[in-house]
Amino acid sequence: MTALKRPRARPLSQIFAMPLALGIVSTIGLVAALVGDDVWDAIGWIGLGIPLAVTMWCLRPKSA
Amino acid sequence: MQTKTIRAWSWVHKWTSLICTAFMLLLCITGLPLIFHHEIDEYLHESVPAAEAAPGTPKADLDRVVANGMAQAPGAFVQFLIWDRDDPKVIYLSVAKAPDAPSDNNRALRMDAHTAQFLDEPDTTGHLTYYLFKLHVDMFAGLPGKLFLGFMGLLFVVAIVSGVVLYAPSMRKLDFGTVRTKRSRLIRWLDLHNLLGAVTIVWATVVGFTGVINTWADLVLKVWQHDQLTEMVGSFKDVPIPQQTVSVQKAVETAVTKLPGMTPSFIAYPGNAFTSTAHYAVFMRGNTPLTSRLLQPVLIDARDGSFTDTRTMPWYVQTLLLSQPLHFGDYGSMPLKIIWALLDVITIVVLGSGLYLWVARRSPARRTAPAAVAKGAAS
Repeated sequence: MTALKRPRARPLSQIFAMPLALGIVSTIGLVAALVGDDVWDAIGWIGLGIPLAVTMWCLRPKSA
Repeated sequence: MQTKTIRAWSWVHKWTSLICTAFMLLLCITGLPLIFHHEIDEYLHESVPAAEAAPGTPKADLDRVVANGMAQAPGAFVQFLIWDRDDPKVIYLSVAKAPDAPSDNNRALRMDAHTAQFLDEPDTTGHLTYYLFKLHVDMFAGLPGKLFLGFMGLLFVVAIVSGVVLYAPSMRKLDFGTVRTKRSRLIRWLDLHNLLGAVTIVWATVVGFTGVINTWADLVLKVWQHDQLTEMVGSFKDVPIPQQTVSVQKAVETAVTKLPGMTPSFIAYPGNAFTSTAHYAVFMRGNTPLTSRLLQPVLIDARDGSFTDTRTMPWYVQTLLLSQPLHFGDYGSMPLKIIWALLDVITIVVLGSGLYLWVARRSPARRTAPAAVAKGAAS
């Protein structure tokens, strides 16, 4: 029960898992759109769109 | 992480951010419309459209294009002939008072690439996007302004790095993306700052640092002149600017036969900063999306049309050329521009919330408040 009140400190790997994953997809997106057109551009939009989508998800209105 | 280490990084984050925030806000706010400068110019300013031409219609002889253009600008000299990257039906002539005059205030004549007719001469200095551009690039303060903004960009990158370090102690007890909406306003904005900062780390670093590289463009050009261009020009160094030059059309044809896999991008006329006093420099670009961003100059003797030299650009020029699309976001059609704009807005919120957090933590009420606020906020 006390665990609820005092959450355990998370390891660095857990803290940075999500920022790292978003950093990787962003990098793929930035580079993909540069090396090609059409499908490569689409990979670029998806790669850079994922961080935006994740932001929207985190900020979605939550019912009380 | 030790408290001492956290304090040190906090200090770095606080000061690098505080110094650059006002300028970064200026850059983000002026940069936002500049992402769409093409669309804005098209909407706000009438321009004479080039004649429609069926695919495969032969292009007009360049000497005719130049002759028709110069008839509109008596007494002026062509410094650059530039093929419009976005509209292949249009060629720009960039003209100045003298062949070797500084190119900063050149007039631009729009020419039809197929009919060789003069279209118009846009007064770009009257455009809204011109003021935004100048504010964004050098705040109307020339090279010092440019380099100053570049330094602010470097501080911004340091602020991002230190922000990443501080993210760890701040998020120790929270899931990714947590926004504690039921706590104080300060906590809510801290969480928002952490979330929005975390999702934009790579984009903001890339756009920030490529912006810094762009501020060095003038210096890169200077280094290239003294390094590669001087070597290529060799014994032509002291040749005076010729009174009579050979056909520019012929010069381009020679360049194309030397580099058949490439497309002409622009021509520098003898005497300006991009070439020698004796040469047309025909700058060729590649034909793939990536290589089309890179340039290779072909030097053609403007007195007799003979080929002198061509070399691939050194790494520092290539780096500058590749950093341009990565800064502008103009390399993946409209969806990429929209993504660029959204990420720019997020960055504005990160900057604004950072400023708010600093102000809020300094307020007297907050100073006497219990450590609960400071916990995880590591100010």
